Amino acid sequence: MNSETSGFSDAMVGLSSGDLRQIAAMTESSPGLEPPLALLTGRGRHLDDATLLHLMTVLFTGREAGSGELSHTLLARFGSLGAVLSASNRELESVNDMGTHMVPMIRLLQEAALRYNRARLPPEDVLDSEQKLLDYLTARLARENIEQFRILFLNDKNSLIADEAQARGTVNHTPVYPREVARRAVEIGASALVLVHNHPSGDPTPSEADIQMTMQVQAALDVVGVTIADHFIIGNGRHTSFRRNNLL
Amino acid sequence: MANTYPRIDLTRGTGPQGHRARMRARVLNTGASTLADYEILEMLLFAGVPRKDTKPLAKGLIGHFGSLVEVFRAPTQALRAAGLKDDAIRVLRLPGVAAERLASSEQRERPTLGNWDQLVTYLDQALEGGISGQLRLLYLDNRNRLLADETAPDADTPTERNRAIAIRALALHATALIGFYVRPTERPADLSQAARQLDFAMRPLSITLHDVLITGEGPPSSMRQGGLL
Repeated sequence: MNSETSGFSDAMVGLSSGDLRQIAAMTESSPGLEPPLALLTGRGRHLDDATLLHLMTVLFTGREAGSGELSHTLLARFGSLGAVLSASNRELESVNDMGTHMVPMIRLLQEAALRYNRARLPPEDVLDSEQKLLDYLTARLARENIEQFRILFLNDKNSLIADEAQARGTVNHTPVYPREVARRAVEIGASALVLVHNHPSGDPTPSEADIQMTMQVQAALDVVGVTIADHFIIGNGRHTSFRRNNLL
Repeated sequence: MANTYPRIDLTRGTGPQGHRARMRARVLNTGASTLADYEILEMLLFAGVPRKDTKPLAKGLIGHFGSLVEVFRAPTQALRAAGLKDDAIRVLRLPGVAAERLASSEQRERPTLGNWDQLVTYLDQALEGGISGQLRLLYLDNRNRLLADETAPDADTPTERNRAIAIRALALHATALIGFYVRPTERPADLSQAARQLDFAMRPLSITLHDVLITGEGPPSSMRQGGLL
């Protein structure tokens, strides 16, 4: 299947004439019918979070009754579809009338969405599109409430061979051991790494500890012949590239 | 409570319902990241396909379209030709649009709860769909920014509950807590002892319990101001 439109754009080129007739009919009929059709035909990106949450709730609970209220509550509580999908089980369980299916299905949808973002990375060279790389890293880390460290392991063509979460942070910094990073890189057979971590504060400015740690990791990797392609810090809607800031 | 159903152990069944319940329990307990691609698809189809075993369907779809994400992006007609009804197809469209939303920035900043006004403002939104009788905990960092807002862990004794709260606070790197009861039936005076115990339990870990609030009719009341903490 050819995907020239390998982004989030409307990739569903295969609309049947029946779908097209339905879409034409929609302009006259009730606008309430349109969101399910938009979602069905792969045009869900035009729908707002409230509508998507409602559709999602109906599909996951298997019924219309109560879905409007529940999806409204989720949006009021968490603020966005992205935030709902990133909320912890305990946070979701504090919402009334969730039932038994919603929490695991939300976890599942979050994971499916992360795999979708990862699949958008260019297979031949993940560094070829910084936007797609940042989309994936943002999806992974931007809403985490703890500092987390992640490493993308690349081969000599910059293809992704592994993608692993590392340590979770402390109050001041994330404990990353240069020796362990080097060991894992050699074990996997990586030629280059992309380091990434998040700042839950939303401000991606590197701390002194971030810079020192990166230098130590680089020194360890130099010994075994592995390079750091870049180190990204993910904030809220902002990011830092160590390479762009001449910190590598 | 609205979230508890009569306890039926569906995981004991060998039919499709037992299997689905087991997989949902697995995702709840260990997350979805260790699921194979076909298992992700199999479980998404739980929402679109009632009752049937969706594993062969999932494997068949991935085999035909090439990969999990290519199933998500497949043309509507092709998915219908593969036997999927429209609701199942809608479920399969969700990951793509969810991916886009996750990749975008968050409009709402994490709130800072450094004073009473900020706290009351936050509670307005936090009480939406709140479950009556629950104790919820606001875990804060050293600038009083909200790290998480979660129900207090279940436990048989107050000591065990405080232990679970402490463990969660340490995991979140929280340095302060604020508790609030959602429309409790108990009188505030009866909740005082539990609040004091929590306060003392947190101190050796340098975690400060700022306050415990009682919410219900009218504005929330502060146990600290009421001398109950």
